[in-house]
Amino acid sequence: MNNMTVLELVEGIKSRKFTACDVVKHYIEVVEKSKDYNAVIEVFSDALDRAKAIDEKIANGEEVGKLAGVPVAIADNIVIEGKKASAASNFLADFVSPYSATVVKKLLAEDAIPFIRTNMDEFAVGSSSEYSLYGAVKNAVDSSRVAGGCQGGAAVAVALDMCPVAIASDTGGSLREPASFNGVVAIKPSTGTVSRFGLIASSFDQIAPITKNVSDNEYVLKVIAGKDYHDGISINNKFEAKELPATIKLGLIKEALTDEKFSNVVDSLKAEGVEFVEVSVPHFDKALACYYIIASAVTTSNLAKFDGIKSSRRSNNITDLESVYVNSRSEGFGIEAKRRIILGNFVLSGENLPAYYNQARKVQNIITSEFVSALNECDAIMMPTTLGEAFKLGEKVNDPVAMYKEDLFTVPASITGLPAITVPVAVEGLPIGVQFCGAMLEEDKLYKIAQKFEDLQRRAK
Amino acid sequence: MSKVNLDYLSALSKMTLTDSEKTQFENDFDKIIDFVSEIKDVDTSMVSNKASTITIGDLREDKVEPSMDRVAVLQNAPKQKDGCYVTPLVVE
Repeated sequence: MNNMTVLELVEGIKSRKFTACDVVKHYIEVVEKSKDYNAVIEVFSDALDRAKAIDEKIANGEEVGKLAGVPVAIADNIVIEGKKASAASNFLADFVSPYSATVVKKLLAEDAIPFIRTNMDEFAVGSSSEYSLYGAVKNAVDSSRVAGGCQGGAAVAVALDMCPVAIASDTGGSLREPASFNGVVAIKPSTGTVSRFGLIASSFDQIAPITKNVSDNEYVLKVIAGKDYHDGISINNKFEAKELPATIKLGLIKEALTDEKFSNVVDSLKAEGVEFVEVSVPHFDKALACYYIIASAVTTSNLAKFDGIKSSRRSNNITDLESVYVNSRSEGFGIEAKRRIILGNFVLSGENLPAYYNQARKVQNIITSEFVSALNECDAIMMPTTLGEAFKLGEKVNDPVAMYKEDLFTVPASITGLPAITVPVAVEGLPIGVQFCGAMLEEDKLYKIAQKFEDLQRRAK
Repeated sequence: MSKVNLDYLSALSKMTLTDSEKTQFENDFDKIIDFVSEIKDVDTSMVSNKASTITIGDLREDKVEPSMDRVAVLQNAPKQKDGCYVTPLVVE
């Protein structure tokens, strides 16, 4: 049962080649063997019971859902009723959710099995999965390197076949970067495609699947997508079918500096008949600063609700109400969360508000318009997903600016709201990915391009 | 002289920083502010800072729905009594 895809598992369970219980037992063994990677915080104790119930339904000839019996990893910042969800923070280490996220409800309605809780950077801030209460996640290919972040646990779990699919959130590349570092597929869909209700994170975050291949990714995204009463920016993404032209035209951003490995990928695609055009995004180099200003402001606001009173741990060292807030927050938040909260308050306070935050919102609009224009000239923009391969554990953990710069190629899709998917490149050694960014709501076209790319990479192996 | 007033910002953030955090952050923030200050070079005189051009979605209907169960919600409170959160005394 090794390395099965979501679609193979669903087919196998429905046609009774194997049972959902067999599947869950198999994955429990793999998780057990892969403990050293620190990707998994918890195996849900009711997974086997859910599997049994699905097997019974099938035995009784009842209709089952689109993800019948598929074990799904759920990131530690997506809540499930009655289960712990801590966003990898000491502050929420005891939190048991009184409700389930909309994505979890959608997964359960299609008979998926919430299987494991995956490790990540605290409150989804980080680019390496080293800022976690539970310790750093290790890269699936080289355990002396980072898994990428913030959702490193989810990517490593899929890469090491601890589960066929993981559901987690992408803030500024938090799914795409670790997917690239570990050799799996991840999308950041058009903003609003998936409800964020029940996600402990900031408003940039978009929930989406990490999978082993492109077709699984599309299949699972369609299950969890949809407008939700509980998320004001959610939309009804119809995944409208778009035909690909006979010759695919990919845009290369002239202002983006890329390396030789990326040029090799471009050359190999040219040899396959893909056409490339140069497109211009004049403010591409400002996207990172723009993102870090807005994202920190959002983090500051979002983490203000953690106060040691309602749902987070309270300090034992208290004398009055003020000390409940101050001491609980000082003890509860880890180093990177504190850094982002302070940066957020910096860009939002006094004269800095117009100079940084308001300016960044304007630059966000400029960059968005530039991307929209560039996408009028091509079917999708192709970029590297990351600056390079996974870096060493500890290499950047004390150098926040170096860490932030890792997100150069992933933040543009986050600030513009456009969909972007990363697909592994066929290379020896450490994995890297290539990213395709498409026009708003054109996921269908993007998946078709990604599929073509994946097919070519398979042949190249 | 550091580019940020850490005492002021940590007070705004309702946090106190340890000495080692302060030392680290003073160094970090000089570099971080330099890095994000790139944004100031962009001419934005003709641009709005209103919501992004491709933000979509509309407001939900304003309808009354049952709230979450009080007992379930309060189970995560560090201290609770008679269905309420407990904090230190605010008014003598």
